[in-house]
Amino acid sequence: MNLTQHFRLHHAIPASESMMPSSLLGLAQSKHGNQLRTRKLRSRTVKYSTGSVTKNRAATFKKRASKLQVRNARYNGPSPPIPEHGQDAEGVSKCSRIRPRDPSARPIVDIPTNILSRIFSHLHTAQAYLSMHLVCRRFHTVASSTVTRRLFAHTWFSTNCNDSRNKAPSLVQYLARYIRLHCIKGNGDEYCTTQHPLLDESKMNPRRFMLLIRNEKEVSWRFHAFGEFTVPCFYTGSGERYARTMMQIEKDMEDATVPEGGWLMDNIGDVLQVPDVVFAEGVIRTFNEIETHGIKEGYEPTCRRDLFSNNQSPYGHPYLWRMQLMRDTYVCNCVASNPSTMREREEWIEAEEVLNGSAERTRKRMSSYTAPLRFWPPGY
Amino acid sequence: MATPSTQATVKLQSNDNVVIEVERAIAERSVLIKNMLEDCGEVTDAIPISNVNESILRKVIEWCEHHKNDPVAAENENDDSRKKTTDIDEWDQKFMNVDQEMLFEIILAANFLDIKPLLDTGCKTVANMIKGKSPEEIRKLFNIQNDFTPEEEEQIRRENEWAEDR
Repeated sequence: MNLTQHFRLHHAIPASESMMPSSLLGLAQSKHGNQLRTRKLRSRTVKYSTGSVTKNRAATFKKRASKLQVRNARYNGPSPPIPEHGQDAEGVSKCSRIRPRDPSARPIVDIPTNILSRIFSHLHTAQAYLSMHLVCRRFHTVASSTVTRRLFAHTWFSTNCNDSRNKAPSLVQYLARYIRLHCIKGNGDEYCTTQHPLLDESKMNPRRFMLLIRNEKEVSWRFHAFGEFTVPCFYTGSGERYARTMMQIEKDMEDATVPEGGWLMDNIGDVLQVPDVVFAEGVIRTFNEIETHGIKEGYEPTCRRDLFSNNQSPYGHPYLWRMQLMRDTYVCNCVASNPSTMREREEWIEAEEVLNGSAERTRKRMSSYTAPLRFWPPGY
Repeated sequence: MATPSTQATVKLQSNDNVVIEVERAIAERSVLIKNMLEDCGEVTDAIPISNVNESILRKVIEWCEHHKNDPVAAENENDDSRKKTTDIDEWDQKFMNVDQEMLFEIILAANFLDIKPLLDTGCKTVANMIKGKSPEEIRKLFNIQNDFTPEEEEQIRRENEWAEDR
């Protein structure tokens, strides 16, 4: 995916524009859609995206009733002449099965788009969801549609963030709220205008979290949120700081204009997108790994330093490595010049190092916004 | 509009003309039937469920019977999403342990009859079938033809590269 597409994906440009060459789209549609059905389904799928479902129940009912061949009776008179059993040849033929029986059994091919969309939305990971794109043209069309993308993100968040067995999702819930809190207005690409306490030099040294940010005034909210959510993950060993971050976020939530009914996963879920899921999954994974391996008894700062030191490989610990890519790709959505793969990123960094001379090799590994993340041990 | 208690049972007629009599409360798990009964009051004739054959209709009724005491999901799509979990309860798992064709028919019937929880259970079941499979395995699973050209496939693969777990 190139960056333009990436950007579009995140900002919900309709599928036909962002994901698929129009020729391909047309082909897929003509192949699979009898027009009537498509229209019918469209009117239904709208439900999922808007959430305003039952405004006109009477209309919905009317539509269904017509399917049942009792329309006239229902709306014209009090005693509906419901067709007699076994006699209504016309009724049966007119509203016969959605599809004919097929002995070669490919039932999923005939599943209407809205249901396919629903199925995709229940997939457990963004990986699984994205692999649907590769199955066939129809799956590609359905999976990459704006409706499905949003439905997937929505379902993923509301499912995972309500999972009480797992601690990490609640973190992601915060993440989602925080990001969206700032993204709803001005889509997250705007620079933060308020000075955040975490960026305040006078308060201990949390500013070191943000060392990768050279000019704090020019940081987008999305970027900011990343720093505040992923970095504390690495510091779960030092609970106080983590708690403080969370408290701050809570406070921010209070200060914000709260939508009617409060900040719920539903109203956040409505605006979340697939990259958010990818990002959140990465955070959960990392968080769980650190929960499992990081905060054991006898856990000492040195362990942490080892964990994050860059001496095992040029790019450090696998966690760190993954977080870097995650951040790179996530921030990709608001900064145009970013590498899209780890390999590309390594090449960039190498090129930059050659340019800057090897003396600064360990110190300076920054290329635009996507410099490798550095986690500085406390008190550095 | 009739009061809900006026009628104890309803007759449902499958598309192969089999009439099944069920408790009204059970039939009302279907929003379609519920709305219909509310709108037209007493219905003594069988209601034709024209998209659903007998075996599927019986299966759906079986599900409705088992779930008749569940709290009725709110009409608003957003409300029931809050209760979502990744799990399917044990009974439902057994219930959904049918061949693929029947599974999809149940889903279609649930969609037609507007039984959201059943539809969701069905969709989750399919999602679980897909879980952890490669595109090729999914094609095999559902007997789908790969209709991409190699170039297109490569392009999509590249488009999704950013999300890969590494």
